[in-house]
Amino acid sequence: MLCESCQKKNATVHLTEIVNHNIQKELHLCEECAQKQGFPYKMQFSIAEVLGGLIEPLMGKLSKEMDQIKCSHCGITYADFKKKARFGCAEDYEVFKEGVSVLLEKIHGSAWHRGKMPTQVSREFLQEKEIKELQRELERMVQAEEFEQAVEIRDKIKKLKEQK
Amino acid sequence: MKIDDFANQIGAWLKGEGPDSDIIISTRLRLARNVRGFVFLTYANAKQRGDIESFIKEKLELVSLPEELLAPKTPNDLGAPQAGGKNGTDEKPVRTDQPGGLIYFRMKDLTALDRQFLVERHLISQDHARPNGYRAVAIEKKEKVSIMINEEDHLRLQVIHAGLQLTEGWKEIDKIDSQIEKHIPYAFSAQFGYLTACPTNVGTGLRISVMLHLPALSMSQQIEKVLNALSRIKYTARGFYGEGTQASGDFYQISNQVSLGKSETEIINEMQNIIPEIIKFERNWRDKLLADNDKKLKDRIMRAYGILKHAETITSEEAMKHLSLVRLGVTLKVIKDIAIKTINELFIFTQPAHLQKISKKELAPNARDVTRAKYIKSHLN
Repeated sequence: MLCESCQKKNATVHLTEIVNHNIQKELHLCEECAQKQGFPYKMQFSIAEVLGGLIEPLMGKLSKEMDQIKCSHCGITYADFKKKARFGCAEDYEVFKEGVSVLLEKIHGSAWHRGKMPTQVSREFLQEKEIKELQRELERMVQAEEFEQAVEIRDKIKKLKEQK
Repeated sequence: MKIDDFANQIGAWLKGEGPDSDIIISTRLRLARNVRGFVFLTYANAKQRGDIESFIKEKLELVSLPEELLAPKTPNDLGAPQAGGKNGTDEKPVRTDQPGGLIYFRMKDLTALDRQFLVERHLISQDHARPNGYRAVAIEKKEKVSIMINEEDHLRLQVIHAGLQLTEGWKEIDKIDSQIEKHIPYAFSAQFGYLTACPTNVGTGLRISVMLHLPALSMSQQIEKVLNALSRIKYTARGFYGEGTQASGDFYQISNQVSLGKSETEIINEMQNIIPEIIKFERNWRDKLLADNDKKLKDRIMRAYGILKHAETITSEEAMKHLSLVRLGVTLKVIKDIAIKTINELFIFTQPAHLQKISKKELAPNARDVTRAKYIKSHLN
């Protein structure tokens, strides 16, 4: 593609003007003309820019309402997050959860952690899991009218919950 | 221990040992971690950054590295001829030795040259080499472990090994991480895992980078195929100094992009399967280049060797190019009188900050090229 301005060199800078989520205008320029016209173009593309571009279309209509959501801990809004593609604090993951899950799905192909956990967390996690399993067992016993065993399990659950 | 002491030694990972060291230079693992309760750095003001740094420094002093990692105390074990304080330099130490085996440096206390030196050593990132922002680094004496404080995340843990050592690397960094976790509460969520400033690092926070020397694939223009295949499975290849750098000297750092949804072991197993395929591909092309026209290949190697042995002045870029060919020559036994370790070291020691550290003075680019040529010559002849 030739540069739309000088019609001589190859267009290597491609600009898209977007107003209210609609593409208004596309411009294809060579490096020289782009600089002449005052478009600051960069030799290196940062991750933030790529991600920023990725986040916008993902949320579609929701996006505008979500932009206003603000984290009370660090004070950034969802719009800020989209611009820099950086979180302000750990809370943001919960506050912007809806958007974040979609984005992570896109980047990593998943929005669920499956790796290492801090020791404290993994202890709680395992305890939680044990309680859930016991509760299922309890239901089974009640249905089978095995009340003696059910009482035993109920006490076990109670003890585990107290430990937490 | 001062920065100059590091200049006098060779990082353990550069010794050219370890599995597949003809092709694999190093295996680097890093974990991104943030401290619970503090704002992330992109949005932190100076005071908050300062508070984070002091908090981490204080806590790191309580951390002991796993015993097998602690460097021996004798000066000889530094592996450096001049080590042991015989340099005669009386400059004020800019460090705090720590009982746990980590040496702590605040970026603002280091000269621009020292900071650049740490970048060249792969102990900090280029982004981290700025004096502002309460940045710091804690380095283990043998340079296997480094912890960047206030880079993009509050903590960036790194372990480097020579050759391909994924499982060993993971075992070590996992242990160090667990030690630190005893003293520093990490930002973690049951759904998203370890929470990071950038959504590309969340989950395990693990990025593994294997540095490969692929001269035959570059020469035969096969490298594009490898890079394309890698990007399709969400792996990236970058240059000698990581993000945003050109692949110079035919070095490629291959890293995983996905950090969430897979466990650390799964990521390691994936790498364990991918890297040997690339090694095989490179070896096959080395054989093919030799089989097709061994005179031509040997000629290229020996010419590069000749230039390095006799040049009076040489730029960093040209040195990297020729060293790459000489390295290939050593691994193919075309050149028999040099050890691979010597070549590996030359790649690092001929970088600008290293040359200035060795010369013990600042050098303008032209002077550097002369010093570089002299340094290379003295190590090859």
